[in-house]
Amino acid sequence: MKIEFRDYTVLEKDEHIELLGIRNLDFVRAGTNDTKIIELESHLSWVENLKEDDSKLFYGVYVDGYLLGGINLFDIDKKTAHWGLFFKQAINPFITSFATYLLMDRAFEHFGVAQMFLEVNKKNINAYKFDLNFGFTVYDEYKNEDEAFYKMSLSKDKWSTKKESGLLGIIYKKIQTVEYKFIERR
Amino acid sequence: MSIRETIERVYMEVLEQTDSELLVPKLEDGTLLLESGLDSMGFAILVATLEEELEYDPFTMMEEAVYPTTYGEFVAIYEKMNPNQ
Repeated sequence: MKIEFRDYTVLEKDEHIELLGIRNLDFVRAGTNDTKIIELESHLSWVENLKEDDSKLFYGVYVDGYLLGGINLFDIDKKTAHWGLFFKQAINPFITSFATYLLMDRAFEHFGVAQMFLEVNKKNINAYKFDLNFGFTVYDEYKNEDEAFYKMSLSKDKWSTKKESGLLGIIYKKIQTVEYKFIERR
Repeated sequence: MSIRETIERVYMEVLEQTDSELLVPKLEDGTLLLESGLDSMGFAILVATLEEELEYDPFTMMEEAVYPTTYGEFVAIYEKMNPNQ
């Protein structure tokens, strides 16, 4: 298996169309805090701005050449970052865990992030449990007009302690069989 | 023990390992995997554990990727790809 994380700014227009097709799926939008359909022109304009914005890193995730979803870091400063992801349904059972593991490790070990944050819709039980299994813990919660969300965080210290043992150790072991690379912005 | 029985046993073990609960009364062929109680990491753990027990991972053996959405499809993939049959 070969996983490539391709920065949005290096993707071609037809790749963005494919990416938006996944991002705009009903089940993906239902899990986000912005449930609106994103139009292509608006997305492409946003990607143009992304080129000059060091606080955001958005990647299309390709597995063996096929685009399966996206994963991102945002609100990046020297010590903290938020992250999120979306994937098609019915994909290889390892993809979401591999992509998340590799992004966490890159954020903590390569970018020097000390604390990672996320928000998850309380109704999205699978995503919430997934985040718990990665070591995130709830530190707050909030509601917008329609939905309620948990705020969760994970420190670099905790990640370093957990990343090669327990459940994460199983993912770590499998990742050793995977070829992967990050293709960063130009 | 059949492949189906092994999968069901390991599935229950992974539910416990990941502090999860079965969200349906019983695992049946029509049970949707994403609504059964395991999150995506749970499924990764399930496949990794099954690889240790059965000594194959069908998802790395497929020439054309086909991924299950139901429990019945999940079991069928393991039965079809069993190198010892």
